[in-house]
Amino acid sequence: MPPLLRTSIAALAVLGLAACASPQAADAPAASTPHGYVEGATESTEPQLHLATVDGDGRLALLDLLSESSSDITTLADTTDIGTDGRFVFASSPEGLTIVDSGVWTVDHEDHSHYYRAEPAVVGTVRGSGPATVVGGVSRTALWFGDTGTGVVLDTDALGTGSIVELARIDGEPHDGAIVPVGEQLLVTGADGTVRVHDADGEPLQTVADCAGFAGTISTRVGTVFGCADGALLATATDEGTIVFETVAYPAGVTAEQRATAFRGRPGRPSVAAVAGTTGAWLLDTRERTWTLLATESPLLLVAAADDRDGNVVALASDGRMVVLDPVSGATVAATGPLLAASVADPALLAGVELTVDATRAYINAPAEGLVYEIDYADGARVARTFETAGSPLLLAETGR
Amino acid sequence: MRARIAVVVGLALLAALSGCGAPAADRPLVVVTTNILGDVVTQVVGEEAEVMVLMRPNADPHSFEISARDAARILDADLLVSNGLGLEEGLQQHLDAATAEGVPVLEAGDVVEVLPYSSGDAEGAPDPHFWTDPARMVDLVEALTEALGENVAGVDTAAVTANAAAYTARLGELDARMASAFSAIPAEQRSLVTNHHVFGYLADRFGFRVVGAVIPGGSTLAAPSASDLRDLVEAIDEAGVSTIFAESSQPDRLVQVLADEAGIDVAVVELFTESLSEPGEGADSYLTMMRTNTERIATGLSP
Repeated sequence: MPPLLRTSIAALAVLGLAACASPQAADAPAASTPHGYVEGATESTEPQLHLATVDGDGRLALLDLLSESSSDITTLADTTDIGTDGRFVFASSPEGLTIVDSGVWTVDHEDHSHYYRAEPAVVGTVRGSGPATVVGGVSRTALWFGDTGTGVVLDTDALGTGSIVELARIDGEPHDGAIVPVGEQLLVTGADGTVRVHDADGEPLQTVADCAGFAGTISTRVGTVFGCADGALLATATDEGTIVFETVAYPAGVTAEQRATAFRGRPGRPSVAAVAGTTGAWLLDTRERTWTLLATESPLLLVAAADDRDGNVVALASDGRMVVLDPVSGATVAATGPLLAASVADPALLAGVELTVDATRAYINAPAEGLVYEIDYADGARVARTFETAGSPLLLAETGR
Repeated sequence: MRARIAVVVGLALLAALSGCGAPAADRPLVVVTTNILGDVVTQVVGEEAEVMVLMRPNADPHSFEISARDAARILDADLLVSNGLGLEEGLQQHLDAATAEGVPVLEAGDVVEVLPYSSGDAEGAPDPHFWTDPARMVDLVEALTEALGENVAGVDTAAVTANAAAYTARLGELDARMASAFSAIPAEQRSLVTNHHVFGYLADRFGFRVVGAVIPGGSTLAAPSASDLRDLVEAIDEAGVSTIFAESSQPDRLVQVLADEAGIDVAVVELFTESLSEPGEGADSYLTMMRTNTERIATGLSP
């Protein structure tokens, strides 16, 4: 209920100010904010893709993949990791989580999408201890500080207007976990090896599922995936908003070290991929509820499912090559030279290497090489463009998609 | 006595200061969601009521916003006309509030024959873009005329009926003009290769095939390869057309890349889809929008 309350107050305030329906008044924030809308944003005909990078000085830069222009947004010292929901960049540091609005985003209407561009801005910092896992939803964005067991639920619309508005807090046992907003509800991992449904205020509800050894979560067109010891826990919402859990079990004989612990895919697609220990890649099809083990000769370090027409799976191999795998046999369809040989040889740098895929290209930062590579995965793993960033790109995130 | 005068003066002053075009208090109010429907409703209502259109020119019907004042006025409407079928997502709570308040609502989706999307992720779901078929707009005008008579006290029904008849005649002319323009296109070339998702009704009515295509964007066009163009080239080859109707931020670059990488020579033409334009931009009324699109399609596909 708090969101409703705030909305009515905002509506009253606007009503008082805008005494007349002039065009300006009509453009003012209205009684509600539908997803995707921000005052001052312009709509575009295509995704306004950007890459966010952070260098050794903590300088966060945004590279416009359409115009190839780059701009420094802010400097965030001691940034240990960044992530994104496709619009906001979430930068973890020992003091907390800083949220930066990249100013570009896509709203998916299923039959088509809308693409927006606004001014980038630093939204603010949520104090917290240690790294935070962040999952962005349409109306809520949830942070989990695993070191202290602190969950913070933020209003996504408010982030879009430049303010941090806390809607709920969840205190739990410290553990590597996550909170995933789904509609009005929250899916919360527990230190006891469960995922429980909580209401909008953060209060636990009865619905709960087992997920021992949680590692990694991702949202697909079908639902939300949680990586668990025995397989993937898939949470889907019925038309009435009821959360239904089911487990997509691993095939027999999967060892603990083979389990998927981090999933990568393309927003709005059903299939996602993960590293399968040193044996290759997992492809998880959440629509068909199937796991496919793609055995590779070289161990893989990062894997992402493009889930395009050919079902391409893009990966960084342990020898520094970028490889494209066949989604059925796991055969290497194409490979680059060892583009990231120096980066994979340095464990400290390797920890910050990130792979992201969109509808036509994959991007990966090579901090030791001081470059970001653009890979045309559907065309023989061709290196389409190479970007030099001002400082070495230690961390990477793609926004606008 | 004195106090009362002060209040009246105060009110007059407020009206003068706020500069509002004071809505004629004696006229009933018809509120319309989209600007396409807004134009049609205005033609039918004429001088008989005030028509308030919520969506501005060149806006997006899925996500446009209204002010709190507009939201409040919806509740005072004598009739609310909406497209429905999920088009006005951003307005849904206001529409629900109006219904709850007892405001009579005419939803186009309830009075025209609805088609499902024929392809894409939304395949099978109702397609809200009925206006690309002028015959369906005639159905809406008929239902609107009835709704005005039944729900809006104080309108001169004879005047409204006359307006509706006149506008229906113009819709008939538009329909005939479209049929005639499209008849010049050989049947095998009546294909709209497009990333617009709104032409299902036009296609159904006038015997076109919609060939959905992914239009490569700016990050792809910077360093393109044949594989980037594969979907589009296949669609163009299959359709055998020399013009594609696509929204592209860099149409010239797209034309050049198609020529260089795939040896294909096509024109890229944009159509008006979900919103009227500002005056003079080619779609400042429903009839103008439809004529502009007709002309662009006929010119692009005729031999």
